Amino acid sequence: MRTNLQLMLAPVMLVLCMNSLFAQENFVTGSVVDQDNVPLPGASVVVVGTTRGAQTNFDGIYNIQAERGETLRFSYLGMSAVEVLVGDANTIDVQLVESAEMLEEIVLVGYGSGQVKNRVASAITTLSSEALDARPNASFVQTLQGQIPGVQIAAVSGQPGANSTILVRGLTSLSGNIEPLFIMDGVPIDETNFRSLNPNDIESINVLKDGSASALYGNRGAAGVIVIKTKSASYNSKLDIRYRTQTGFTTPQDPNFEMMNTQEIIALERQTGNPLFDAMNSDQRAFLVGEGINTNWADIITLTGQSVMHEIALSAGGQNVSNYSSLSYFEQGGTVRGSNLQRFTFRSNFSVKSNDDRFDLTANFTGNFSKSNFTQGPGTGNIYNPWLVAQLAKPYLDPYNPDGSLNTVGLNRDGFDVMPYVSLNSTKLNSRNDEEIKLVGSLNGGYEIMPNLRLAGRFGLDYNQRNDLDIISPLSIRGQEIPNVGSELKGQQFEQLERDVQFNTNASLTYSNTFSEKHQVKVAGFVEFNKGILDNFGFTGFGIDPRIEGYNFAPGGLREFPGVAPGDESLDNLQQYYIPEIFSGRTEVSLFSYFGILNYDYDGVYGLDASIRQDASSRFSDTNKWGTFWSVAGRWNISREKFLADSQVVDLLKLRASYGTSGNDRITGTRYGGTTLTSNLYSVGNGYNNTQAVYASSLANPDLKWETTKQLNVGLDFGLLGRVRGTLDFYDKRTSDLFYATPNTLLSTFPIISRNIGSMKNTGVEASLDVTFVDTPDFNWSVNANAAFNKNEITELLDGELIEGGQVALQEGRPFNSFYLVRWAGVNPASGQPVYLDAEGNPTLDYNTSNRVFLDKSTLPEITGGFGTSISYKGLSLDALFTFVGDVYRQNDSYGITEDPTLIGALNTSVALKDIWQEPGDITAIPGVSAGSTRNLLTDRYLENASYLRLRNIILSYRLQQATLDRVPFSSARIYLQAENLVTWSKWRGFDPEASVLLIEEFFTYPTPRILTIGLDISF
Amino acid sequence: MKSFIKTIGVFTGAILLMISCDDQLDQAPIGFLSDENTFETLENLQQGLNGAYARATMQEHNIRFDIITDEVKIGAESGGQSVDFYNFNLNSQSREADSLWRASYALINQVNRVLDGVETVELQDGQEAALRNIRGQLFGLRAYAHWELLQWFATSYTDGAALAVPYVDFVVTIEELPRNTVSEVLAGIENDLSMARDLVAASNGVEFVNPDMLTALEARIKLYTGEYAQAGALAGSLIQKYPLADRDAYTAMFGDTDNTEVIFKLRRTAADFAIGEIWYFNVGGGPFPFLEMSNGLFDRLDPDDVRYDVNFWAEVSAPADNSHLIGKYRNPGFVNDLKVFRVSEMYLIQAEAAARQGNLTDAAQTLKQLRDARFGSDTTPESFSSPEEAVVAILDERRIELAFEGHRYLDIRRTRELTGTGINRDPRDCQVQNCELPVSDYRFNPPVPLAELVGNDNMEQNPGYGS
Repeated sequence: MRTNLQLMLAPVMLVLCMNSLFAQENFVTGSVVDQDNVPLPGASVVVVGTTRGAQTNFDGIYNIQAERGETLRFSYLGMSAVEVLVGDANTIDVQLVESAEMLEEIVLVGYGSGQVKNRVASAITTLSSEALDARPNASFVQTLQGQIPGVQIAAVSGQPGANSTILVRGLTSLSGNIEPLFIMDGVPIDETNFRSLNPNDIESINVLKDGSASALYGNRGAAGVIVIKTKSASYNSKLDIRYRTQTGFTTPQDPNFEMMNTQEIIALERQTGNPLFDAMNSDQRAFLVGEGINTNWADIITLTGQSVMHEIALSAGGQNVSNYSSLSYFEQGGTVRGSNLQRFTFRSNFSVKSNDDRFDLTANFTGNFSKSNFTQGPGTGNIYNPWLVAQLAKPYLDPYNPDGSLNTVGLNRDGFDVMPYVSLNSTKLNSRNDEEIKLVGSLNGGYEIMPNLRLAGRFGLDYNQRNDLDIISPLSIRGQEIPNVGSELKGQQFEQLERDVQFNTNASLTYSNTFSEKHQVKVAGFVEFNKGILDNFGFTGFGIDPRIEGYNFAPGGLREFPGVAPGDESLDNLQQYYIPEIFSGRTEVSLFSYFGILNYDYDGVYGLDASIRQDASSRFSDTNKWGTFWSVAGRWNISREKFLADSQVVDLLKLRASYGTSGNDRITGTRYGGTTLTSNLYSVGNGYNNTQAVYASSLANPDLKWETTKQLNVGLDFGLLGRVRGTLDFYDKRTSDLFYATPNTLLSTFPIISRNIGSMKNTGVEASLDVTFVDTPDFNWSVNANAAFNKNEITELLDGELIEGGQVALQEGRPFNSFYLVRWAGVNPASGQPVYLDAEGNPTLDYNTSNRVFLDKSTLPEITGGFGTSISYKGLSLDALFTFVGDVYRQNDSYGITEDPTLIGALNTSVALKDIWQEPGDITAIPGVSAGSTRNLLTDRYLENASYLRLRNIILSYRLQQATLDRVPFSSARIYLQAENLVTWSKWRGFDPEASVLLIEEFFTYPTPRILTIGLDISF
Repeated sequence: MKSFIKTIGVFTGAILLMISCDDQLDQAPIGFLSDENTFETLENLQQGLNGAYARATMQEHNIRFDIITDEVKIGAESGGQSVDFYNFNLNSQSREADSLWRASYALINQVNRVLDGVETVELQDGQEAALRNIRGQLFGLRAYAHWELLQWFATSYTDGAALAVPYVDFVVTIEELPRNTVSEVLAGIENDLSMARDLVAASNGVEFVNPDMLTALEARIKLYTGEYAQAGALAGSLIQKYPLADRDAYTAMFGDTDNTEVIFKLRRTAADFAIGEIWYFNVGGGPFPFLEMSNGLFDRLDPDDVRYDVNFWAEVSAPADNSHLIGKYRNPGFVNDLKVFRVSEMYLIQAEAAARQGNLTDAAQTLKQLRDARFGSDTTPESFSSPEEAVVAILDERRIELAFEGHRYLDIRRTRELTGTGINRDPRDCQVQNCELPVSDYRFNPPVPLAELVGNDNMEQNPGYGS
């Protein structure tokens, strides 16, 4: 089997391994092995003082031209280098041993430069591919949850591949960009959309959290930087073919609320004088309802989605060329109808270098195509939103036709009484989908123009093209009203094409040298340019022929004379229903920067890094365009000092400190938003009686300027007894000149105007700890935990004033999104009316917004983290990861509506309404019907704690042991069973406590699912 | 060495590319007009005026206020739409009041921008008259918008020193203006009206600001401010000019095919808000009303009166089952023109002005003329014994004639001191809802929107709504 596959791939091999070994005339050869005498492929051999170098092949053999008297230096990552003088012998075999410290991981600190972990002075967390491997999330970002201290990630929807909000060390902007910059193989990529990328291509993820690291990306690094490196092959590595597959299913999580059953709701309807069930007419009675029916609509509306993944990855390397390539297919179904993701991806990462090692070039490219189907109206109050229906549909409605099939017609009309049928009808007949092409490519080249001086350049591209197609079928209930109740043809097709291209070019000159063997210096200068172009256009066409539904619509000029007898047609009764609506737009943004960095190291014990950069953004006026950002960082590797060098207890002890500034030019957060805010603008639009009109469309604030974040970080890395590793970091992060859309007088017609109005700080502690309890060849057991505590505080607002924002308000001394509400104090037993607390805390029956107070509750969690364990015995292993979010609050509008007494006739209600106030003396938490609807008042009645602990991932796997592998044609094989989001503990009354940290009011959003899969990995 | 030169070449190229990239930073937003090039020609001003008319949406918000009167009840298809408002829940965040404020000031802001634009326009020969007409319409719209604001938000119509709203004759950007007094705003309106009278062309027609619209506006203002002699005279001048519609023309008027008694209306097309959506879900298979005509109003409609046929949608209603659908705006898709001034209102103004001045017979006679037209037959004249009695009768007539045209709430507010009654619903219309807004309730004066108070430190709230 192995041979066959290799034969099939032989042509590939020919291309990949162009370089065979040539014998040199004056050569030294030999083998390089590790302490266990295992050959080391890819070890570096150089002739000291020359540019001659070589690498060992897959058998650990090297071959290098060297004269007697020259010195060979052998080195390998994580091993101590060895130097050997060339004597008479032409064969030199070398054994390298692991360096005193544990394997020295390479950490990507920025602009493609790697740094041995020991020499990093910044707060950076690295996740390797093992932490991402095999997790079934469509977007790799979801997999990072709970694995990196100080990084808060929350999925905003359960749609497969949906975006997540990501905060690194708290929220750093009020309305500007808050999400970290994502760099993939040196290219900045769209941080809002990863659904098209294959998570298995990722080799490592480095999260740059402090000021010195993010200052390297000064113009965009204020909210942190996430540097992603995709997989590559080593030079001189043998062909590795890896096949992976997964299959499984997604299911909704268990709801944490209880709705009324048929008997209960009918009784409540009668009791409160809204006898909808009793008032049903004969049509409804005949087809839809019955006192004996008791439907749990959540069971009908939700379903189990299927998921499938196949991937094949190849890697191989010759002496000067290496390649990693992968091809994958992924499919994941959502937990409601009409929601899924299909994805096809490929990647090819090429590296090439010159024989003399002076020139190297890597070309990384990935092409991806995905198709997402979206369900109808999640997060909205539309009655076709399946999540709304799942909770609010009346249980006495019969979901099935007499023949047992699902009833997706109802009475073939809209209305609250037939709500679930309208929803099922809409999900069945109407569609919303996006097709996306995402290409990310980069070319990185470097050349050593003279010893110690390297010239490098990069060109990167992130190309995203999205085609949206939304169809409302003429056969659907919703289609009956579109384009018009009276039109002959019905239905509509919305189509949009959006193209987002981001270019990035960068050139640099780097000088590095070592003086007196102990002073290592690196100085580099860079010039960088970034440009983003967003283009979109689209249309809504009307009048679909159901026979060719999908890509057709009526001619715009079609004329109809509804209700007019033939011969009476006149301009007065002419209707042109089918005129399509079209739109087109373009936005461009540019950034230009130049910057310099300095790294200094003394003997691996002390180190100093510094950077400074100037950035210009096209968003600001000429006077405010440029911003200057800088950083310094120092480290002390205490465990390298003589007094600890021989310690049996302390393996690693490193103290770090850094201070740096970085900027944010995204005034409204998104990459293309806010480009109009520094200009006074007018737009052309629709005027009176379908004439052309001009309107003011932007009110300028020319004073807008860079938002700046300054961060101080002090951290400690430690390792004890070879069993314990940990990090501890303290930070103080202050953002000034905050962008904020401040209220403006309505007399201007611009109710908000963006300003730089204040300052905010985030202070926090992060810790992570890995402990290995048992480490034997057969049995391993380790636990890991990380936690972060972050306190957000607005330290300054314009004029110190309080800025209201509905449910929340901003005030100095309080966190962002602090709830500012009237306190709900229960129900007056005498009248059944709500009781509130006034601003002083005294009970009052009057609801008055002037009684709002700050509640010390915010949507921003203060505590986040995760913990897990890993146990393995021989090939069997069990890994579990728990994640938690603490001290986070949100308005539960989904639950609030289930307790609204004014909707008793229209909707099903919570069982809590059994306790509705009925007569004087009733002591209950639910006001009487006469109190009306109170859920939309600005009170804390439905402000709930959304903290949760979740078994995020548990995986049981078996890896074939060597003895077995010897008998099968695989080099490794692993089979596993896993569950994502299996159990959640939370007080939140809903489907899912997880939501964006910015979400103030939750209203029937798409909850994150539970995903169960079985998978297989095989390498040849 | 060759490759060295190559690399240097590539590098130099890259640097040059980047330096040229610096130009890219001067990036004006794409697809917009700037301050400099928006108003260059007369046509551009016309586009500005078209935008001003499009922003004159106050009438639909006026009509929405009929919901908190005795004209409406909760409809058969209600899913809670407007129920809070129906229950007199009116606070500084109520969108009904907020919309009135925003719409009026959006119109005023647009007018002031176009008036500024007049300064930058280069006229061609022969365009002077057209420019005068554009300016006249802008002044007329500014007067209309300020009156809308005053009638809703002023704390009084008759006390000149009472708080009204900011009167604005310049382009507000970030200025935080305090409220002017009633007499200051009225002076501003009068000034705008007189500018408009000088400039507006007589031939504009009923869908645009025209000289008679200015007169009708003034008549309405004078009625509210208690200047009854002038109100009567102004209304009388329009009564001379416009006949009352006969029964057929009256029906056709609400189907938008007859303008016999229309003085000013706002044209509505499918691109605009469909007025019927205040009461109906605008979906197929309907009509699905979430609000309906109240029993109280239905009982007052006489089947012999054409207004029974117009206000009440008999074909789709079942009065025996408490089903009374509103029929005044029933064009396809509920797209109907909004009648702002009709001559029948002038009859009612004239009658009320007469009654208030003690001419009870004249009042009765004017009322009879209107009823004769509506019944298509000779009706029995009323006989009043006091101005109060006459005003109550005129109020009842206004309730029928001007139903669902945004008058009821203001009529009750305006006359409540004289009549001693607030809003009282028929018990059938409020079985579980609130039935009454007492005569002295603060909610007869809508609140200044919270959004304005938040964005304007100099703004003051109306009494009763907290700080």
